[in-house]
Amino acid sequence: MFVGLSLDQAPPYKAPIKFFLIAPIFAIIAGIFALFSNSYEIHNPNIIATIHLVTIGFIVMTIIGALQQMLPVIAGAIIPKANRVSNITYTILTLGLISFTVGFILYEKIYLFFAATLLLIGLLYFTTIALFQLFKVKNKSYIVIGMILSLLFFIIAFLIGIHLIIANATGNISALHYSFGLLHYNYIFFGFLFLLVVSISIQVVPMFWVANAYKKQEQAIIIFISTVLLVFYPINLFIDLGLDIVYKIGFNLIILYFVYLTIQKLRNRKRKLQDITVNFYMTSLIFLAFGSLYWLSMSFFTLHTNLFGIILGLGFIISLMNGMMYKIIPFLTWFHLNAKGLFDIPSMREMIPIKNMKLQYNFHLFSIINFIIGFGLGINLIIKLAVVLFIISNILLFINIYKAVQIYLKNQYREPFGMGK
Amino acid sequence: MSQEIIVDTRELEAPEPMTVVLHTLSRLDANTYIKMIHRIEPQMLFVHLDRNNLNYKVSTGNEDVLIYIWDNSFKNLAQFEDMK
Repeated sequence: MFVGLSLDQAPPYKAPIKFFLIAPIFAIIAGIFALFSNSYEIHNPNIIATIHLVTIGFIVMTIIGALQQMLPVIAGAIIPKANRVSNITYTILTLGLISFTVGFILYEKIYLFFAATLLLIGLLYFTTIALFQLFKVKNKSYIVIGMILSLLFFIIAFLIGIHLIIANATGNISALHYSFGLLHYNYIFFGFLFLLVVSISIQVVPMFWVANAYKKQEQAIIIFISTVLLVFYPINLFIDLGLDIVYKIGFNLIILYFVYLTIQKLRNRKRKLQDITVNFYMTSLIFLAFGSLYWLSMSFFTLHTNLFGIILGLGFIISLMNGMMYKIIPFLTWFHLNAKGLFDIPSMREMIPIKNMKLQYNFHLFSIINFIIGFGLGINLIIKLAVVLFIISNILLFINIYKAVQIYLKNQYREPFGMGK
Repeated sequence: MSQEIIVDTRELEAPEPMTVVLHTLSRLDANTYIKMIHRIEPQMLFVHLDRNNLNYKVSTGNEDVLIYIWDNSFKNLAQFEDMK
């Protein structure tokens, strides 16, 4: 008896893959908007378009792709009718992002309104389904609890975002508008992204890099203290307790603890093979720690907000996502071909050449460094150079991940064990 | 007397632990069970075992995760009953 892998244990190949493939394309479009921007002020329409094409087009698209793939691995939870859910989400979000882009090119509000509506529907649709599957998991590990909390904070942040858009559109700006804005970005970043990264790291760091598992106590400390701080934040904000600094110091300690633990685990991993994805993960963690301290310093000094966005958005989140894509996509390709009985396919390590990934890593890193120097010194030419590097990095990312996808496309109809043509 | 097959996957990178244990499942019988030693709880393996009507028990007491796997013909079930 050989009980092989079963394809119904994972989403169909194309369900998550299309999200990964389109993510760098939106990042390239975001880069083009930034390249033709005459100013890098955060209120410049081209920069607003860039930020949202990166956050929703790259980051959210990648997260949706990763969640479809990771739910069975992390929680044994499988999204039912995965193809349909994936196609609906993908179509709605892509149309929303195209409408968003056209809206900024033509300066037509109707396209932006259409975009906001589609993005809202698409994101809530997928998040609700993912949450429902996570709630159904019988033995909820800290990973599952972390993911549930992360998605709940996302929904709250998203609803606050809608409130802010309506308030802006109708000119009905209340005294609490700024506080809602702060709550929105704190819940997106710390509630949604940080908790999601923590939950996924707890699973994938030992799984993909043969590192020691996070102890239960370590998992509990990070997830529960983060949640307590996130619940405390709006209380402090709306009752005006003036305890912002407690919240910030608390989160800094938790973030630094998570960074320390994860770097230790990656440094002490059992199989120290050359792996560029470790460089991406390490880079991401270093920028997370740096960004967290920068955020705390903003309470005491006047510092560039743009730089904060670059450190956390590009340095932390996008570095991590690049590295994860180089693990998840070969894993998906291997899993689906293996489940078809094809055992002569390249191993996960052979699917994307290491030198190609290294080249992309270098462009990505130089892009971040140039952004930091450019924004730090206020030199637009260096910022433009950083944008060009960012565009090249995403073109290379697309080419690299497509190499793994090509292996699937070439082999998907082949018969196992040489039984075919 | 039961025979234990030890599958130590602590130093294997995903997806090797899954492939190694899947190939070992063919050796399960009335007297044989698998003791898998892993760094984490392999959720996808559990889904797979459930769907193939195979039984398993997970022990996470120490640093490693121990997964005991047996099929319905296995006779000496008593040894899994006291396990946490």
